Amino acid sequence: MQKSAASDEDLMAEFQKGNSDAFNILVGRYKDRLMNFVFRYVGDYNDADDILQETFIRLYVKKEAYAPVAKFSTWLYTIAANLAKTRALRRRLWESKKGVSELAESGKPADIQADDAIRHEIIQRALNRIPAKYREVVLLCDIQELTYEEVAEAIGINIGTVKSRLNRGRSKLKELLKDIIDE
Amino acid sequence: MNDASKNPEDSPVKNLLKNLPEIKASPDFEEKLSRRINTLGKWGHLGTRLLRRPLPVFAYSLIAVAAVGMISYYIFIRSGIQPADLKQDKLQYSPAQPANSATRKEEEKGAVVEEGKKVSREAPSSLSLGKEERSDKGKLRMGDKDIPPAPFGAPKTTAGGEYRSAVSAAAPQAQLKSLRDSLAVIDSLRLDSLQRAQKQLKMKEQKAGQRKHAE
Repeated sequence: MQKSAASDEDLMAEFQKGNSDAFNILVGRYKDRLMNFVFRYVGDYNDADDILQETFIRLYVKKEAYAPVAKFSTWLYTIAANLAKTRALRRRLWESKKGVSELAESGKPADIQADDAIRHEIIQRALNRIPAKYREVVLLCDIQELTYEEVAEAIGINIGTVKSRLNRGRSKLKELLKDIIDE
Repeated sequence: MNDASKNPEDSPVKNLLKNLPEIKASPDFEEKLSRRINTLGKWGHLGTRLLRRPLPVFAYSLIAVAAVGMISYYIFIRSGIQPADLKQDKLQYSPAQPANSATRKEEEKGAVVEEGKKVSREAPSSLSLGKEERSDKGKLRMGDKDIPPAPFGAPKTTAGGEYRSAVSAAAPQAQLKSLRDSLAVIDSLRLDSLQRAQKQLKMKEQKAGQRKHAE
C-alpha cells in the first residue's frame, strides 16, 4: 500500500534498484491512460495493445535510461508516442486513406447516424485524418489533459509550437466534424 | 487548465474529445506483458526488434541488382552465347585445313607466308599467340589434325576421345568447304584483275608502238 501511494518517480527509482513490484504498480497506473492515448492515435485496438506492451517492455529493458530530472509520465508518453508514430506511419504505407467523409457522406443524414457508436467512430476517423503532429498534441492536451509544458517535454518541441499545433489541430477537427458540432 | 481551452471557438471540439469513451487495456494485459518479459532473452529481444523494423530502402535495389545478375547469367553464360570476337577466334582456329596448319607451322618458325595472309584477310582477327596457346594448352591438336573444342553442355570426352573425333569429322568439313569457296572467289577476282591489267598494258604498248610508227 505504501508503494502504491508513492510517486511515479519514487517507484521508478525502486524499480531501477531491482524491485519488480514497483514496475507492476507503474503498469497498473498507466496501462489504461496510455491505452486511451495510443488507441486514439493509431485507431486500432490490436495495434494499440501491441504498442502498449512494447512501451512497457522498453520501460523494463531501458530502466537505466530514465533520469529523475524528467517527469516519469512525460517520459512514458514520449516512448508511447514514438512507437505509435512509427506504427501509424507503417500503417499509412499499407492502407489506403479512408476519410471520415466516407461515413459522414454515406447518403444518410448526420442526425440518423449520430447514435453514440457511430459518432465515436466518426470522431476517431477524423482524428486519424489530421496530420500526426497535430493529432498527438490534441490528444495529449485535450484527452490526456497534460499541460503545455508536459506536452512540449514529451514531444520535444517548444511551448509556442505546442500551442500553434493545438490550434491548427482543433480547427482541422472542427472542419471535419462540423456536421456533428452543428447538431 | 490550458490557455487554449479558454477560446470559446475550440470548446466544442474539446468537449467532443472529452466525451469520447475511455479505452481500457485488455484484462489479461498484465499477464501477456509478464509472459513477454519472461521470454525476453538477449537474442529474443534483438529478433523482435529486427523483425519489427521495416526493410531499408536500399534492400529493394539490392534485390533488383541480384535478380538482373541472375537473369543475365542464365541468358548469356549458361546458354552459351558468346561475344562475336570469340566466335571468330573459334572459326579461325577450328578447321583442319592443310594450308592453314601449314601456315601455322611456318608462323611458328617466324616466316610469313602469302597463304596465311589470305586467310587473315578472310577472317578479320589475325592469328594470335593466345590462340596457339589455347591449342597447345587444350591439347586440341592430334598430330597434324586440328580438333575443334566441344560446344557448351556437351559431355566430356572419354579416354578414347570419341566425341572429338566425331565432331572433327563433321563440322570442320563444312567450314573447310566454305573457306575454300571464299578463297576460290578471291582467287578468281584476282585473276580477273590481273587479266584486265595485262590487257591494259598490252593496249598501252600497242598504242605506244602505233605512235612510234606514225612518227
